[in-house]
Amino acid sequence: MTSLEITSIKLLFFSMAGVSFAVDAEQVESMAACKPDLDDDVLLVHRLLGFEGLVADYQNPVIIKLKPQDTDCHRLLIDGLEMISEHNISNISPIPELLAPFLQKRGIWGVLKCENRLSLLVDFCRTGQSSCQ
Amino acid sequence: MTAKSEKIVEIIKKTQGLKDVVDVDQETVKVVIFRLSKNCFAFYGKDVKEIIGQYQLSWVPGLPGYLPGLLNIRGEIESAISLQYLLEGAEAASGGMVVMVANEKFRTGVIVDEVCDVTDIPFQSIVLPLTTLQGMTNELVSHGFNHKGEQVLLLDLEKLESKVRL
Repeated sequence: MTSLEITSIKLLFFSMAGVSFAVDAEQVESMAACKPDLDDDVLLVHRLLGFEGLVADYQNPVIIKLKPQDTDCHRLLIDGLEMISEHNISNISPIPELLAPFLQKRGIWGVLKCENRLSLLVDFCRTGQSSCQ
Repeated sequence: MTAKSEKIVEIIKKTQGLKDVVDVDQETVKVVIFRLSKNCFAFYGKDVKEIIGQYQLSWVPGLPGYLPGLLNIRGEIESAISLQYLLEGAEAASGGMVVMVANEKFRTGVIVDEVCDVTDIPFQSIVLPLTTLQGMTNELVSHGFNHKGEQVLLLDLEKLESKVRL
C-alpha cells in the first residue's frame, strides 16, 4: 500500500493516568485479560510512554500481543482499553516540532483530534526497543 | 515691524518650533506586554502571532517541566511553554492566557498570567537590561524599557528557542 492510498486508520484506544493513547490496530495480533501472575516477558506500557514516577495502578489491565514486526516487544500490559474505531487521517496532526524530539523516541508520532479530545498516537514498533529486551 | 509685531512673530516661531518637536515621527516598536507572577515581560510585536484568552492544555508524559503539554487552538495542535517554570524552576500555576509566538523556524504557545498591553514604544526608550538580572531571566532577556512606571523585560525569541529546543 502506498501512502497515497491511506485515508483512514483503525485505532485501538487505551488510557493511562487520564491520558488517552491509541495504537494502529494492525499492530495488535490479539488481546487477553491479564492473569494475576505476569510473565516476565510482559512489558508495562507506562514504562514505555514516559510516566516516570507513576505508581502503576492498572485498574483494568489487558495484555495485548503485538504482531511480530521490527520490535522485540511482543506482549504489553495496557490499561483502560476503550474501543477500536476507524478515523480519517485528516483528523491527525503531527507532533509539534518543539515536542517531537521528546515524544518520538517513545514512539508517539501524532495526535488524533476526536470530539474535543486529544489522543496520542503511539507506534509500538518505534518505542524504546532496548527497554523491551 | 514694530516691537510688538516682532514679539508676536517671535512667539509664533517659538510655538511653531515647539509644535515641530512634537510632530517629529519617533521611531517606535510594537511590543506585547504581559504579566508573569509579579513581573512584567514583553515580546516584540513582530514575534507575536496571536493572543489567546481561553485555551485547552493537554498534559503529555515524558516532557520536561517547562513543556506542560499540547494546546488545541481551534483544531491546530501546538506546543506550550511554561515561562514561569523556565524562569523560576517552579511548577506553573495555570496561566490565564497564551501568547502564540513564531519566527521562521520556531513556533509555540507561551503561557502567561495576563496580557497587559499591546503598544508602540519609542525605540530610544529601549535600554539594556539591568545587570542585576540573574539565572534564566538574564539569559532570555535582551532589553528592557519603562512602561507606565514599571520596568518591563523584553524577551528574545531566539534565545528562548535555543533554551527549550532539545
